[in-house]
Amino acid sequence: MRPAYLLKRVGFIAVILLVVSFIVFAITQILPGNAAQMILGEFALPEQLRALERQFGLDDPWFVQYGRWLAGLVSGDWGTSMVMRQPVLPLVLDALGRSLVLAAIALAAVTCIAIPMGVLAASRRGKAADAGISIVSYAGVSFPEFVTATLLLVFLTRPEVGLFPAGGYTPPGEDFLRYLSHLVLPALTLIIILMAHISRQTRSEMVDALQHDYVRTATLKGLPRRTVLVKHALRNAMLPTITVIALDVGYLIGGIIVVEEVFAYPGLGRLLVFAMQNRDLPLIQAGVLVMAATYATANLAADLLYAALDRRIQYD
Amino acid sequence: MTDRFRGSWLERLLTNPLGLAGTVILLVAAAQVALGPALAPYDPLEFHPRNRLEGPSLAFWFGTDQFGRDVFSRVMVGARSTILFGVVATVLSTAAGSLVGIVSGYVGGRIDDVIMRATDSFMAIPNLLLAMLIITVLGPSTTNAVLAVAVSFTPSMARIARSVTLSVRTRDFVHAAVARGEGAAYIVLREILPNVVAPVVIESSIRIAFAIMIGATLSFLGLGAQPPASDWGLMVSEARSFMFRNPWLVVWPSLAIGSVAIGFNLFGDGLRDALNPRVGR
Amino acid sequence: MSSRRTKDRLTRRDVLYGGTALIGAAATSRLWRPGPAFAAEPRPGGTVRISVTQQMTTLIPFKQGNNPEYMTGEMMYSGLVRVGPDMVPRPDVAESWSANEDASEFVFKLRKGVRYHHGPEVTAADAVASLKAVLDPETASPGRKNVGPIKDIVADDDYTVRITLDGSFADLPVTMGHPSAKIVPAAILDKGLDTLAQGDYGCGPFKLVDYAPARTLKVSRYDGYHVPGQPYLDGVEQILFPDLAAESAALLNRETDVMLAVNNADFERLSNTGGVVGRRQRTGRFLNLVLRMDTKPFDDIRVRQAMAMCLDRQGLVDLVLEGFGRPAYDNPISPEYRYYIDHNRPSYDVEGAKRLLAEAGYPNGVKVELTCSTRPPLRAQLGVALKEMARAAGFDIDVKTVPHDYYIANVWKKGGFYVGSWNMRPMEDQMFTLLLTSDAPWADTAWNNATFDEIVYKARRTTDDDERRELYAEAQRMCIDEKPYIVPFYQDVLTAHRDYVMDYTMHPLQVSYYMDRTWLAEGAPQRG
Repeated sequence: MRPAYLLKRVGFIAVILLVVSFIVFAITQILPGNAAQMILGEFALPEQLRALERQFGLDDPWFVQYGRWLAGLVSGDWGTSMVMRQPVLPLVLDALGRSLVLAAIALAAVTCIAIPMGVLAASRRGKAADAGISIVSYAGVSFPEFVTATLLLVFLTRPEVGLFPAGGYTPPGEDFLRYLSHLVLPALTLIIILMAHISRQTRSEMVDALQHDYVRTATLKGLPRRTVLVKHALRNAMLPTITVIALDVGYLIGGIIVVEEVFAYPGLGRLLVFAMQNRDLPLIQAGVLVMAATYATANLAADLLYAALDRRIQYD
Repeated sequence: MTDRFRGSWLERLLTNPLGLAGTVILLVAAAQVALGPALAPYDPLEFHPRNRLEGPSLAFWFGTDQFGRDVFSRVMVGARSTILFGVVATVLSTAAGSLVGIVSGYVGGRIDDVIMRATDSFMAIPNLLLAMLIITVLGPSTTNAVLAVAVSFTPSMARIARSVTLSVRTRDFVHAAVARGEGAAYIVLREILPNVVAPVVIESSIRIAFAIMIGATLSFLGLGAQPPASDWGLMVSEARSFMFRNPWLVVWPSLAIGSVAIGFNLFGDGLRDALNPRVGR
Repeated sequence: MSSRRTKDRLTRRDVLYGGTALIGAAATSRLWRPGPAFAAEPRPGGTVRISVTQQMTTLIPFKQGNNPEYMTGEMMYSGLVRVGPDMVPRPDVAESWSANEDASEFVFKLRKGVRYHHGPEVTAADAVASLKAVLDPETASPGRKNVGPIKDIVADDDYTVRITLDGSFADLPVTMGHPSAKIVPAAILDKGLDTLAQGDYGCGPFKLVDYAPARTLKVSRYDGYHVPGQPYLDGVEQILFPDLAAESAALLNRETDVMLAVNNADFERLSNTGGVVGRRQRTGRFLNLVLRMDTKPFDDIRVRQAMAMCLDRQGLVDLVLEGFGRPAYDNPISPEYRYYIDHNRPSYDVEGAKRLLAEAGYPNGVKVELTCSTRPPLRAQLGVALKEMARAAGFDIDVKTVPHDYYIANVWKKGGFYVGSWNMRPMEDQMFTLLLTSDAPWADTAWNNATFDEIVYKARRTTDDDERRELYAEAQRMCIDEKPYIVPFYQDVLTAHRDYVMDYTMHPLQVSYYMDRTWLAEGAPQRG
């Protein structure tokens, strides 16, 4: 892989993000209300509203606002949250950090569970185990995040069960065990959904691999089934599966919005929902941009990983 | 030709147990959409104040909600808006996506570049987030949520339509049509479109489940259907306040969403396998 | 209960209207201890964790407008007076006050030796600058229209504040207790308002320790607080739980000690849990149906009356509020106010409503669109219940929910039929002059009734209590009879805390929590 290719891809992401920033900015410009109204509520008097709008720079023409915002973005000044009156950049980065922790835990756990499940299903193709895993997988992908999350809430956080906190967050420095216990249910929700993706992908790649000549040859040579499955078939099936896992990071970025909202986990998704509900434009703009950047980076990582694993593919 | 073709793929779909299960679930769902209001024992909006927040009983099979409304009736009636949401959003995005994709692929050049960069950018925003942004602008309602989901699905549909168009454009029958002096409209409609249909339909049959789920999610977040609608996502959302007092309120609409989505997923996968027998998974 | 209320009323009358000169110092002698526990002696120490669901948006006391902000402002800052849960103003930084004959000029005497957390002494110049900041439109303080008709404020000396009013306004000591009317150093104001957003310049019972926006706010005991011995607590932590289910679970797990506000649906479950005390406070807070009187169909009094008659109000309390409220009969003034009257309750009479609609020219019913903001969600709940109830009388109501900013920009004060939501006010005057008089800043029904205006403004000028009572009674009668609003119920405010939390105060206005008087009994968890 040539550095020039990498550079091109990164440049491409930059262009996409610029367009995204423009799309988001355009959307926020045609919002019916604005943050000043949201903050002041019924108590607003016209002169108060105008004072606050002036303070936010909402009375400038859109291109002035966009230019100002873009210039700030490049220089590291991402503006100030209108509602929270705090600089946006640390708010967004803190929240992103917490979201990534959640995503990483879910992804690590699901990789350990789903790949063996997929291998098992493929090796017992057509048997009860395969059908069982299939049904679980279909259920996993078919329940939206909010349904899975709400059902977990109803049945695992009832006071009489009291297994897990119903949501919220404790900083790790304060009480590490509580910190972990807050992560369990949101992570479990994501795991249930991702499990289906990854196990189905593994299964279908394994089924393909098992039909290939080299696997048949290995079986005919009398190698133990276990060796055939793991050494020959799985190794080849892993390649597309890894790509799917990397792509799932992109999915996670979107799916995490609802999970964080249901479990009141203070990540980027929840921050964005808050920002949208309150018409906090700088926060919406920065949040969406960071999400898009994470998404694009995950996709690039998936491609690079694929290329690194499969030497036959040459990018130029 | 169509007769022979249909016989074979339908047979493949229905002999695959998962495909059959999906088809059966969808038939039940279709019956619910068509007959839901007729089958509901009560008016879904009618209050029974003396029977608030009750569990399942003979009078109220699925129990009652905070207004004493019959949850079974609400689930039956809610099928229509919840399921049609996914179907309409998918149909809209398929139509729009095909149009954009075919134009982009057929015209090519600078226009293709611009359209593809735009779709890339839209695809860099997660579907749900994009839909939420659009609804934030348009205001929360079922109609706006349908539009938002349709818009958020369009870019990926456009990509599929474009890639098929690109592969078809260089084929002999297109060259022949160009040689005959046919106009662009004729070529697109008569030569390219028929070839784009199959892959796009497979993709959209898989997407309906996703569209239903996003629609329910938007209602859950308060951005889609509004009270007093009996949309399933909204029902879960409203039930949350009472989830420890009457967990059934959460369970029924959740199961309804899940089972319909399973149906569409099974059917979509079955259909894909049936239409592409060689992939045989 | 009733005897206590009578006593409070007497006291209040003595304080405010007892004679020609109005002397506030009388209140200092009357000790008032909030909360259910009276016997035990407060025990110092400990940290209380309070969960909140609304997000703090600012540390600037003048701009604070939601409940967690009010609590924070009250902990960090002090004002001239504080208004108790009985609506009686009591000394805070001001140790006494007096008014001239016609209550058009007030003098507040400041306590000497009150110091800010950062050292300097609180002076009259600070109080003047702070009040002026509240009144400055640039500040955009929600208190601007609530602190009274102030013409001028001057500092006579370091400890005397003189406030001149636009005409008579006997309630000034009450309005001075508005949560945004806090005192900050004039020197800090000179540096710009935003300085206040960055730190702690108060003289209140607690000092700011840490503020993590959208997560937590921590304060610790201020040893130099001007009330000796208080506060009892070492610290208070406010934790944001934007999710109600998570919030109540945290209280049950003893992760938090107090829930600032409890969802109606959750209250019973929490109160029935061992170790948790559920508390219920009646207030004059209400949701109202705004019936715009210059647009069809509500321009016709008979249609408004028909709407009032088809509501089963107790039914609404049960269905919408889970029983945590009281039926109201279209009076925006609740029994918690001084001059409340019970007048002309509309009967629940669906047939009668139908007849009235027919008389008004709608024999086949009428179709109307009811707009509800999504915030708070109770508005839409009321809308849904109303739709079902009014159907029998011939109202075909289409409930439309809209986001809150859309509501503020396009529906509120413009729409013909929508659900409003109002907190209790400290006195009748504010309810009337903010919402119902022709020149009220938030007038939203196009009532424009000159007679009503005259009565309300006359009451404001009147210092004789009986005369005032009669004027406010007449104003209420007009509201109830002409029905610019339908007020179906008064809401209770609910809170819950662990049983070791003592003397935690519920205030009907929800602006005051008296954390300086709260203490922890034995059995409270030990926290940093």
